[in-house]
Amino acid sequence: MIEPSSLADALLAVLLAALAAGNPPRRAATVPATAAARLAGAAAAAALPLVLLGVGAGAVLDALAVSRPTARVAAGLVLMAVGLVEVVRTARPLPDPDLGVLVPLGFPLLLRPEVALVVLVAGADHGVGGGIAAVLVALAGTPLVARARRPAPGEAAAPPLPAPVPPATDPWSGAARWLAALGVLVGAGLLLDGILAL
Amino acid sequence: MRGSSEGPDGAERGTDGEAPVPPEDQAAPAAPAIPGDRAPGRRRRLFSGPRRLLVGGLVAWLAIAVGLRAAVALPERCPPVDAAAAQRAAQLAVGWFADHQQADGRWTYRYEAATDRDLGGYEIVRHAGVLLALYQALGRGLTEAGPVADVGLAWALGHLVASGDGAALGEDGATLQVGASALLAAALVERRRVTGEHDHDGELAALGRFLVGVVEPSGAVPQVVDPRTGPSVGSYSRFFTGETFLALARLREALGPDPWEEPALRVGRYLAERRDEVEGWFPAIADHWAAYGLAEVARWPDGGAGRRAVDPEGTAALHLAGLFGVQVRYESQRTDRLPSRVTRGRQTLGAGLGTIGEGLANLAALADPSGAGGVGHGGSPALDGQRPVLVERASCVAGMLVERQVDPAEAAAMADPERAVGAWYQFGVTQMDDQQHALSALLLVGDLLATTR
Repeated sequence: MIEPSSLADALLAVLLAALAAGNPPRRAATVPATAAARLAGAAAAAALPLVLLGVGAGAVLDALAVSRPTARVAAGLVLMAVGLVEVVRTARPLPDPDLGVLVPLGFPLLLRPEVALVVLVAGADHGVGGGIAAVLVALAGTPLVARARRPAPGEAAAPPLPAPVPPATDPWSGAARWLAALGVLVGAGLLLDGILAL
Repeated sequence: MRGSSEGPDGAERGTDGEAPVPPEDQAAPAAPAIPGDRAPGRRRRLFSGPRRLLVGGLVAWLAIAVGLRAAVALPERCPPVDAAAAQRAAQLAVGWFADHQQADGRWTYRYEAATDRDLGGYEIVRHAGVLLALYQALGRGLTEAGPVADVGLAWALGHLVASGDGAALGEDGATLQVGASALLAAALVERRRVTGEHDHDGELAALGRFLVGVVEPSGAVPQVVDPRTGPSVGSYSRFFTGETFLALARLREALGPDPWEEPALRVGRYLAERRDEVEGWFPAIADHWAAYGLAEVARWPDGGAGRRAVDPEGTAALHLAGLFGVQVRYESQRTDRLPSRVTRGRQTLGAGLGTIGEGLANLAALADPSGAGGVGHGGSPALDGQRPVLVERASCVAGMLVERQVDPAEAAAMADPERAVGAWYQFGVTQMDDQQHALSALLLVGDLLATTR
């Protein structure tokens, strides 16, 4: 059983936090007309600073004079807050198919504070491997979901979606909300873990 | 009509030769254009599309970074400290007790440095606690603590009153605070260990019998004993239970298992398993005396049987460590300046900080499988591998204590520098338990620093 004071010790829990922070269905829904390949490029661009953060997590925390438990508290709080917002609010899509790979796709769509904080915790608590794994889990899903959302060859293309799509008509919206809810739960766990830790 | 002329049919015509448009068919004049306006009917947006996403992202990053830094992830300041610095600070604290001891053996209870004023009051429980701290100091080479402690001990032994089949520390006819007797017993055992003298074993056993007599079947310890009505019912002190646990555990180590071991284990189990819930303490008490008691039980020469009986998996010890850990991290973020003053409050008392150090140092000893901390094979399994972080947290406390203590340079500005130096003040006032707990913490953490490389 993973107890609150040992949640961050479980790499699986931290990777779930990374997945919730990344929330690929929501990111893909924000840019529904953007090609998967373009999003893959954006993910690669966003991954670079995040990998550096994950690899140098210990040094970053030392420079900020912040302990690992406090970092968990910070990550948990932000993950909970963002998760609550994403459960309640539907993503406002940008229908433009030619959005910039670096800006705004890489930053700020994919390079987000909650992702950075979870990567920081993963790197600090689980080393370089944990940090890199968190980056992959947080970012790799968005181009994959984008590819899955686009029609198969031969099928008629779906018309552009200028307005938020009601959940009943978009299955990915439900998945995005579930991941946001997961973020709230895991965020609460990280918060408690950080408070109760040594 | 301007510009008109007569056409071939005699009707008036405009200058371009076209027939004039009747007034009722003329279009309404166009509204004057507003510079920068889009097509009429569309509301102008400041940010839209990608720009909205970018601005929103920048605002989110900035707000979260600033908010976290100001309210959550403030810098945790742990001033560097070594064993020698801790020892010097401890020596100054002992000097404070020497300078503030009165003729009858008691100490100045509350002191205002700016006016060199004794503010009066006294707490007999804290008198006993100071004795423990001074004998701890004596045992670590601060020989000037010995005479000061002995004079204080003489006062305490002169205030033992018969109660039940034992004796308690208190005033004749007055309500007896159980914690006072517990800490006096703990101090007598400490004296016994550091001096090798057994001349007060009789009083020690009498105190022990008093404590055994008041422990409830559940292991709970009443707060007071009224000489007329007996132990209080349903009234418990935050710390007297832990103090009694420590005293009984020390009695067992000093005088043998019987009759001290069983009540010690009973109180220990109660503390470890259900005290906070039963007595309604929320949040849970960061009980440094319980930590002392756990470390003491782990020192019993019984192969760890006692420790396993009280806290089999070490979960109580781990829980305590977590409580102390968050307190250290929180306190280390306090600077008494903005924004810390708003988000973290004022720096705590010397007593508050000292108790955290005492608790952590005892738990670090529990986490030491080598037994270098004095704990034999009774170490706590849940704390396995946690010694480095416990030592780190304890060192942080020691560093903060050393930094916040009034040293000779700072005391020079006070009304009586010799009486002001060596203490921890808040609003310019110190209390003897500030020095008591800070002294004990510095000594115990100094042990850790001396053995940790």
